[in-house]
Amino acid sequence: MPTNWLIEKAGVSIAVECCSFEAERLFDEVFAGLKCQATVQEADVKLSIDFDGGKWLLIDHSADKKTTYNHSGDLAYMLSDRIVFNVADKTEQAHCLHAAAVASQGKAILIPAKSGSGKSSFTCWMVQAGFDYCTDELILLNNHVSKNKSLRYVYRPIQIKPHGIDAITPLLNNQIKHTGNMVNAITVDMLGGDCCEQQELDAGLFVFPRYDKDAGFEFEKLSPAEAGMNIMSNHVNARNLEGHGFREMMSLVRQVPSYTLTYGGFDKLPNNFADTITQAIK
Amino acid sequence: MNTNIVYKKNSNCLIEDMDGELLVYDPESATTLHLNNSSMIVLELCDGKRSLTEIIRLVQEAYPGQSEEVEADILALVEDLTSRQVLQAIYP
Repeated sequence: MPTNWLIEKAGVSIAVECCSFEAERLFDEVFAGLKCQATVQEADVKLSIDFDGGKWLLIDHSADKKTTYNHSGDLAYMLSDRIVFNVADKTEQAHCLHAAAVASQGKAILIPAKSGSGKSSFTCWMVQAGFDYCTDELILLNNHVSKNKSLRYVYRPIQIKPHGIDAITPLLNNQIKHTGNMVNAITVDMLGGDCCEQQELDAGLFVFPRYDKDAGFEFEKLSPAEAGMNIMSNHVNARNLEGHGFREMMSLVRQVPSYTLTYGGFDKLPNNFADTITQAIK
Repeated sequence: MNTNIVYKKNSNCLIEDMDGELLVYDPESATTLHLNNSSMIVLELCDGKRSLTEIIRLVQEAYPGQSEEVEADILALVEDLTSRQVLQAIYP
């Protein structure tokens, strides 16, 4: 009998139905950090995953769409994409930021960035450096973040595209199990790290990363206005919120320190960089 | 550029003073603009009453000896802000 797992984030409920033993095992291995509950109740969105005839299958019942994949890493990627998309698209209870996050001492270090800027690779480095992993894709900030800096996050495995694998391979303890043509799913145990146990954290620091192979290392503090520009360009559900969430976000960047990080590879990061980050947390 | 035109801020845009720097958010395009101190002054002067000629004169008085640069900078800024729909022209 298929198992239904219920994911509830910012007022949006998503049920993931695992239709086979293989699908159940994949979900358990890759999405353990979602900390969801087995359920029989209806959800806003229903997704099903299966493994049949050597192919992985994803069904998005809401969109009436069925897709097959040859690799488990690609199924994991598209399943997490559907979860993240539906939360960001439907919620009116949170500011959704396209950002990774790691945690230290109950504070979140937020890493907002566009796709391709090295956000996930840098997140791998942060996890192997001892920070607890939260997400590499979506942050849910309290709707009244000017009064309460708390946030939640949507867990997914760290997603590394094939062209980025070489950069993170030196950080890995063992081989990637769930590979794909689109992305490879990296779980924190492969980095010798841990998932964050706390589902709710306070925002403590923003780091805006940019990988540039020709760059050295720069870690520079941003003014609130510069940080505000960067935050709004990574705010993904502004249209759902009163005043597009602009005033609340501006209040947040006044309270939380923000830095840009430009680096040309992990070998360019100073030996004490993890300590530098920890000290910058407010 | 016709400097007799009066400009006003687009009332749909959200403007936030961030400790001496200005951020302007346009909900229509979901874009944010970062303005420096001198751009802030020009934006404030675009109040729907003063013409562009008056604004240029006021800023030139504040920066004597830089008349040509001031005029060129203001014209370029107003053109840019108008194209981004932060400013709206009111034709006489």
